[in-house]
Amino acid sequence: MRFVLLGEQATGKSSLLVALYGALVNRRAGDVRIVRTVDDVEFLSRGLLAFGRQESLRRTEVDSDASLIVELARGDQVVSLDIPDRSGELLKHMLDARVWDPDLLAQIRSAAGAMLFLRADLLAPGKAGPKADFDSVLSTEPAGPTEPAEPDESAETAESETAELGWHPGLMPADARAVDLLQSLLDQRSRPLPLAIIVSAWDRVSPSPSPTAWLSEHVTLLDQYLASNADRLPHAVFGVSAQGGDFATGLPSQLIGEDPWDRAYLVDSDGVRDTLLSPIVWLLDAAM
Amino acid sequence: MNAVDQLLFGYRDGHQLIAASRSLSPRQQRDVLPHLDASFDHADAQQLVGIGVPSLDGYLLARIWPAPELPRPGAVWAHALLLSTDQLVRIRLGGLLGLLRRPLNDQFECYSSALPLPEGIEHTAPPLLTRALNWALQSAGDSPVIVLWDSPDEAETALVSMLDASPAADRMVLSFRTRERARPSSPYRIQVAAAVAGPLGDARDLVFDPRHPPQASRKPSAS
Repeated sequence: MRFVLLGEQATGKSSLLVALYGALVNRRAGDVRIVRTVDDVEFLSRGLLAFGRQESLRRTEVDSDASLIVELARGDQVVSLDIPDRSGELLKHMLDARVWDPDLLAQIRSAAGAMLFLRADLLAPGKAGPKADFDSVLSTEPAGPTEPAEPDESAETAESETAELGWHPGLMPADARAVDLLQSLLDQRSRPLPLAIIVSAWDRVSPSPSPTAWLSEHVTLLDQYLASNADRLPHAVFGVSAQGGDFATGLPSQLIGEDPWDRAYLVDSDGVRDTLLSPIVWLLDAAM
Repeated sequence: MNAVDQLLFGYRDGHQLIAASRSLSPRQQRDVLPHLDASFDHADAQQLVGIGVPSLDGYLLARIWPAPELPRPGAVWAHALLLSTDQLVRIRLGGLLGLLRRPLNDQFECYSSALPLPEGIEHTAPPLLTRALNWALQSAGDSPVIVLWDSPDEAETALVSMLDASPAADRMVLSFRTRERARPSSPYRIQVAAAVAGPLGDARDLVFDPRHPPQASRKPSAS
C-alpha cells in the first residue's frame, strides 16, 4: 500500500519519516509494530543519528529515490507500506510550472492515501504568503531571470494575461497553493483519496489549539476546500513535532537527554497526544 | 557562438535559479532541476553533470558543490553552462571545466552574462580511465554504465574528454554524472564514482572497475 507525501520544501516530510521509523524500531508505535524493512533505510538511520545530535535533517535532493518501505503488523493484519520521500522543490516547481511530474503523477493515481504537509510557523499570521512580492506585482515587473510559464494549449490566454501582470504561481499564498494542488490531484483521480493533513513544527504553535481549529483559523481556504470536498478527500488533521522542539533555539529542558523517538510527538485532530503512527493508522483505516 | 550561457542554482527558500545569462520558463527550470541538485556525504566533494535538455534545445554541463555556509542543511550550489547544439558540435569542450565556479560571498553578478568560450585549454585524462569509459560504452549496449574510479577530478577530465571525442551526432544523447556513490537506475548513461550506493537489485546498470583489472567487469543483475 502506497502513501504519497505532498509538501513543498522544508515542510517536514523527511523529518516525519525519520521520526516514524524511530518510533517503529523503538516500539513507540502503540499497537503497530514493524515486521521488517524492505528497502535501504540508510537515510532513515542517518536521520535518527542527526536527531540524536540535535541537528536538523539535510534537505532531500530533487532526484532522490529514497522510500520508507516496511511491513507493519497491527493485530492480525500485516500491511506492506511504501512511502516515497520526494523533494519539496519537486512539488514547488511542479506547481510553478503547472505541469505534473510524471513519477509523482503515477504515484498519485495509484496511491491508497496521501499526507499533505503544512508548516505551522510559516503559516502564522502575516506569514501565509509572499505578500510583499504580490504587492510589487501591482507596480513592477517580477525580479529575477524567470520567464512566465510556457503556454499550455488550454491556458494560453490566461498565461498571456498573467505574464502582462507580472504574476506567476510562485506568488500564491500557501493555502492557495495547497488548494491548487488538491484540485489538480482530483482531476487525476476518479476514486477518493484519504488525506492526512500534517501540521509540522507543532511545537511552535502557542497557545496550542486543536489541529482542526488551527487549520480553520490559519489556512482558511484549504479548510473550506476540504470541507466542500470531503466525499472525495476524506481527511483528518494532525499536529506533529518530529524533532520535539527547535534545535536552533534549544530544546525544552525536560527533553534534553531524551532519545529522538521520545522527544517527537503528535496531537490528533482534537489536540490529544497520540503515537506518531496515528496518521498511518488513520490512512490504513480510511483506505480499507 | 563565442559565448556560452550560464545558470546558477542555489538555496533561497528552496533550491532554485539564483542568476542566469538567459531567462528560463518555470517548465524549463523544472526540467533542469534534477540535474542541478545533489546530496553529498563530504563537504569538500563535488559532482559534474553533462546531459542534453530537449526543452532548452541545448546541453547542460554543470558542477555541483555542497553549501554548508547556507542555513538549510543539505543546500548546494550548482553552476551550469548551457551549450547550444551548434556549440556542442563545433567547439573543443576540454576548457569548459575551468569556467565552472562556485559562488563566493553571495556575489552573483558574474553569473548574469554569457561567458566567453575559452581557447586552447586541454586536460589529460588518465589513460586507464579513458579506456575503461570507452570500453564500457561500447560493450554495454543500451544499459547504463557505472565506472568505479577514486579521483573525482580525473573522472571529470575523462568524461569531458570522452564527450569531446564522441561523434558530433552522439554528443547530445551522451549523458554522465560523477558522484561520491553511484546510484543504480539513474537517468545518466554513465556514472563515475568511487562506490555504488546500496544494492543493485534489479537495476540494468553494468559496473566496470578499472581500478582492479583482473575483475574488470561484472554483470550484477545476472549474478
